[in-house]
Amino acid sequence: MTENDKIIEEVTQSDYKYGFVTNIEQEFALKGLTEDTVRFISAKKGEPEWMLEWRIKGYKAWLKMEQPHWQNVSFPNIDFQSIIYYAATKKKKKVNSLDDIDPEILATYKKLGIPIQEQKVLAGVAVDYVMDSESVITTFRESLKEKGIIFCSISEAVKDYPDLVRQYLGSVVPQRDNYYAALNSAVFSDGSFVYIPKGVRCPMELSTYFRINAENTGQFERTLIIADEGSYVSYLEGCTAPMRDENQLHAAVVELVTHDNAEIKYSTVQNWYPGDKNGKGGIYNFVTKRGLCKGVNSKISWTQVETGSAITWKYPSCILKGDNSIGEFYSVAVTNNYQQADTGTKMIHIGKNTRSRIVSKGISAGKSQNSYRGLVQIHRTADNAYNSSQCDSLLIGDRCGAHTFPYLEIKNNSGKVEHEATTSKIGEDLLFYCNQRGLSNEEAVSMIINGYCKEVFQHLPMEFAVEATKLLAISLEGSVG
Amino acid sequence: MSFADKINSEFELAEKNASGEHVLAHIRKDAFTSFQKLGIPGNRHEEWRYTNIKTQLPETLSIAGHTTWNVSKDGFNGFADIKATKLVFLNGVLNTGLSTIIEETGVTVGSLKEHLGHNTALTEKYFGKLVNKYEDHFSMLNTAFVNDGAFVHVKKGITATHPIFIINLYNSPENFTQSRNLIIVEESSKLDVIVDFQNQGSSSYYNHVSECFVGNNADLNVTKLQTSTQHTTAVHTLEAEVGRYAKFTCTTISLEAKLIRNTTNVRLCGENSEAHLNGLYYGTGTSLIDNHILVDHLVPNCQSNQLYKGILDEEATGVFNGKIFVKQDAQKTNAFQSSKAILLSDEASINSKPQLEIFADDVKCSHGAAIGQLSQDEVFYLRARGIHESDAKSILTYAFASQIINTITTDALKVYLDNNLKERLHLNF
Repeated sequence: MTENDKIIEEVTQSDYKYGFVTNIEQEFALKGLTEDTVRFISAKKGEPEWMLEWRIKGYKAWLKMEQPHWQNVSFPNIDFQSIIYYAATKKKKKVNSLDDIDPEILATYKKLGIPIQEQKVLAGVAVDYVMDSESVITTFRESLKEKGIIFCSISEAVKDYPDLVRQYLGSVVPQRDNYYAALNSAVFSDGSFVYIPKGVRCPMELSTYFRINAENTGQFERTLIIADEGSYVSYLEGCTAPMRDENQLHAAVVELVTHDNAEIKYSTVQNWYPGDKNGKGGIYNFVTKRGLCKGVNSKISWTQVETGSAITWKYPSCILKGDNSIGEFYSVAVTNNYQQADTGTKMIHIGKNTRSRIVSKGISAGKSQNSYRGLVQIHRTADNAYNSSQCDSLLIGDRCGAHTFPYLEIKNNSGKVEHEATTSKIGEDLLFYCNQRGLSNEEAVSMIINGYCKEVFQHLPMEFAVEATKLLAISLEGSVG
Repeated sequence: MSFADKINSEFELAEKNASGEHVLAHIRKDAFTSFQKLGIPGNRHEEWRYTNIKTQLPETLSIAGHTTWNVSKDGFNGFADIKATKLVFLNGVLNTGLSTIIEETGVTVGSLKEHLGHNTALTEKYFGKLVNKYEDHFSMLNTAFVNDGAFVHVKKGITATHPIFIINLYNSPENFTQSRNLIIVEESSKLDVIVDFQNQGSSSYYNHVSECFVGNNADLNVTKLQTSTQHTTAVHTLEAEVGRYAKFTCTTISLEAKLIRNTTNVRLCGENSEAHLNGLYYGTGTSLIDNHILVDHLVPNCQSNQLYKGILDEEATGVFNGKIFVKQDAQKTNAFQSSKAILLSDEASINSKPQLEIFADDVKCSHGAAIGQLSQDEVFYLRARGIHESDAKSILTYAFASQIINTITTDALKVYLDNNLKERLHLNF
């Protein structure tokens, strides 16, 4: 066996490091989805009438829709009646300090490598933890409040800031947007809500950590971030799940709105359980993420590192409505074993002088399938729009696949669109160059892959960049040291 | 009666009339059964999402219907400057009076209908065999209904000295004419084929299918001309299968259309084979020109190149979909694709979808797509030299397009296209 083969073999044997279960008491909704389930969730959360109506509207839209099958992934039909749509940690005591949190949960976060205390002190990151469906605690809320920044769970926001929520919820991703968005609208359990007032630059990075813990549950979180005029926020999202034999569904919706001169930077490190090396189990990650650059000179930037999930299906998009607005998308998607990913972005240019940039790096190993699917649309009104897209795919092993499906729809002649894609394996000449300088094959591969992803990683906040590099190493263990 | 019912009854009728070619009866029947399942695609179909063909085909069109008319030798563009065997088809049926054949040993040309009747050993081996690979709506319809077409066969080891020029004339606004080519180039032989399409009526509708078989070590060069195709609504499907060490080149020049769809599917079946697909499209008025290309790398060590350039003026729409498939065992594949388009007016638009699907790791595949307008700097450069703005733009457009025209190897044809393009751009040098 050559060294390369060995590395590939090791890749396929690496295991998921976050596959532990936390034994905390939880409360569940009954299996299956009916209007009563929706009412149950809404009642459980003590929501006002309008919120229930909004959910029911989503549920009714969902009933009329069909599961989409156009993606380049294959999976058995999901039985939506065998999913538990609500699971929450049982102790519903209001938590004021970290000491009040169930020690089991604290232990979970420790295992995940996010020491709450430490981060609170050192990193200065405000974190909202969502376990299964419920938000556990939001740190740093008080210090943010002084600046007028609202950072809380969305269920609290529904109660405390109903006007804001009513105004923006569903304004970017309406209930009937797509099958999973409709489902999410009906049963979403929690998520984060962020509002940055006019002219405020959020002094720290806001972060949410999602974790699916209970068996047979789906996680349906909903995130809504609003950046008012001239404000700035950087938001991080991380996800993990324990190892389970059956597939679990994660159908989240993220909505971003930027007003004039505002900017949102949204970073994701997604590491849901990808299934074992025979493709059993794992999370179905069907997420709708969309940002609306509503005001002039506004900017939305998506950065994602996708290493987990049995199936990833998501297209973080930007609607560039305001003149001079900017949309960016930086992505590294890694698939291994039997993972499947169909991910990319949509850049919808409506305003004048709008610009967008897409950098997508796919790495497929084992028997996985990795697709980039993107849409660049330049409308008649979008004078002088500019888009540049770059999609590179790297193949490790000869049983995996890499696919590119870019759609370019141009209706304005002053626009400029550039798209470039390449697919290759790690060049023998690159490896040889490194070997010549005394690096082992493994070190060389690691160095090359890190270099390959650097363009994306450099857009991640520092703490995340370190985590992302580590995750990449774990996902492709053996080949990237 | 709905369009579907109409097609059904027409097929029954066609089946009854098609006596004498029993060997093909089952091929037609199977194709029709497939077509019935597929129907005419709407824009919900991924391959047709930007080209709504369904709304462009009037339901009154007859599929099996056939009309003919009198055409004199001077009544159409006969490309007198090009020395070639010329086959002229009127609404898909060979007209021997207008055709001129230069006899060459080892090269057989003629009516597909005739060869389907007599040369059964060959036709049975090849006819309809390629279009089955991808169940395409219009190929199936064509196989079910086709009446005549061009048959070209080059024997092993023969290099044809003159190109075969297939001129298709259409004039029927009532019929959806089904025309067809079957081109077989056996081992180690070489052939150039030029296929031209001309509309002679107020408008015309047709569905043209070419099947090209390129044997081991053979070389086939096909040039498709759509330069006199105003008011034409047409679907073209070209299927090619390329053997070991063989080379297939296809150049598609579309300068006029109401709606033209060119589907080009190439299967690289033998190792070390290569395919070169070039295209130039120039849309004016409200025309829609759609190019769908698929290069399927099935075996290792093959090469493919795609180079498409589009110019869209006025309210024209361009559609480009280039696919590269690399199958699991097709290691050491080199596949490249480049699609460039310029929009000359505010109302023009382009929908481009370059697509890669790779299942092998030791490959080099890339695609590039660029959409923009003429460079302001370049226009300025020419204007600074006293050239009027409209001329400057024409010169730059001409330069953009001539990259494709220059790939054409038949000199007389290159000159013809070059002049044709200059005329369209009002250039006189």
